Amino acid sequence: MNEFKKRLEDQTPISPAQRQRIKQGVLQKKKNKRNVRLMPLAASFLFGIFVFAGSFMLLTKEEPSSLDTGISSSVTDEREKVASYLETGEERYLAGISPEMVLKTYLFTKEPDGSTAPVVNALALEEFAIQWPYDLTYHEQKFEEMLQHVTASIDYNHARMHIKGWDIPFITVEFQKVNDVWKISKIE
Amino acid sequence: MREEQLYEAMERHTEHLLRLAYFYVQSWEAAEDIVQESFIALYEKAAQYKGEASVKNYVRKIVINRCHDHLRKKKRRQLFLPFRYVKSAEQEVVLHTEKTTLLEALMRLDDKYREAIILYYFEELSTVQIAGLLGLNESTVRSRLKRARDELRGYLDDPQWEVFLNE
Repeated sequence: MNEFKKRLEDQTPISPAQRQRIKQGVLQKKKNKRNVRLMPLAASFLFGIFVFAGSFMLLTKEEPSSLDTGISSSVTDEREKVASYLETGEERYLAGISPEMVLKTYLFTKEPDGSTAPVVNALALEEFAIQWPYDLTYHEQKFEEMLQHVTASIDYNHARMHIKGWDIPFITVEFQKVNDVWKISKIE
Repeated sequence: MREEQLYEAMERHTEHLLRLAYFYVQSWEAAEDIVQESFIALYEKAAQYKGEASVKNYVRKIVINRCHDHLRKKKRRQLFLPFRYVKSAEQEVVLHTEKTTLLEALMRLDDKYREAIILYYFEELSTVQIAGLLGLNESTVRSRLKRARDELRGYLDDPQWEVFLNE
């Protein structure tokens, strides 16, 4: 072993506790990842039950249900509520709503022809929400490529979004992060 | 890769990789995370591993890539910091006159110069191998090594500096 390496090793002793932490960390992360891999299976199973239940309800009820959008009614209600707040510009209701929530709202809102936004957009946004606020350039590019009707510029405490909604021709929403809480500072 | 092989690789290489990551990111906590994630990646990407390189080389490459990611993110975060710590002229003088240990001197180097020293002296790679690993020209690697050594010379006293003369 060369002298340089020997000296550096002497100056950076590794404790048994560090080795143990790494070993346990690897085992734990391996276990977590296996669980994550199983999640799609579980999700598919639940989705199957959901579709089956939805179909059954549609057959037994004549009036339209929120299930025909593929989204549970409580989630739809929540999103519709946020959408209506945005439309009316009632800022007092909007404190604490994150930019992701607003975007999700628009993506899940029905299009004029009654269809819902493509699932792929929702998936892109899920990814955005998880990674956010990192890799912004990548995600902005993704917006351009996949969504087309949303442009966003975001940094750590300020965000500006131009949203061409289905119900609203064009709006600009600005967000400001104050004490770790997103607040809408301007709607035009 | 079977689980036993993963455990064997961990047993053999953990200490070395942990030091390697620490020299890059200068934080034991971050280094531990990077090494953990690298072993997981090694385990998961076993199908891509063709056996052309040793397990040590393969996992080392993963560690280095993750260290680069970490340093990139760190730099990006620093861009958003309202205040950045700047050493006073007085502190700079002290830093440049005070002789330190090899480790402290190494940690003062800029990332790319520190990397050149680590890979050449600690990993014992040739300049050609380093160039291949980092996707650089060999002349760039040589130039970084020279600058790094010149800077280290200013930080180290004679007995500490001897390790470079003996190489």
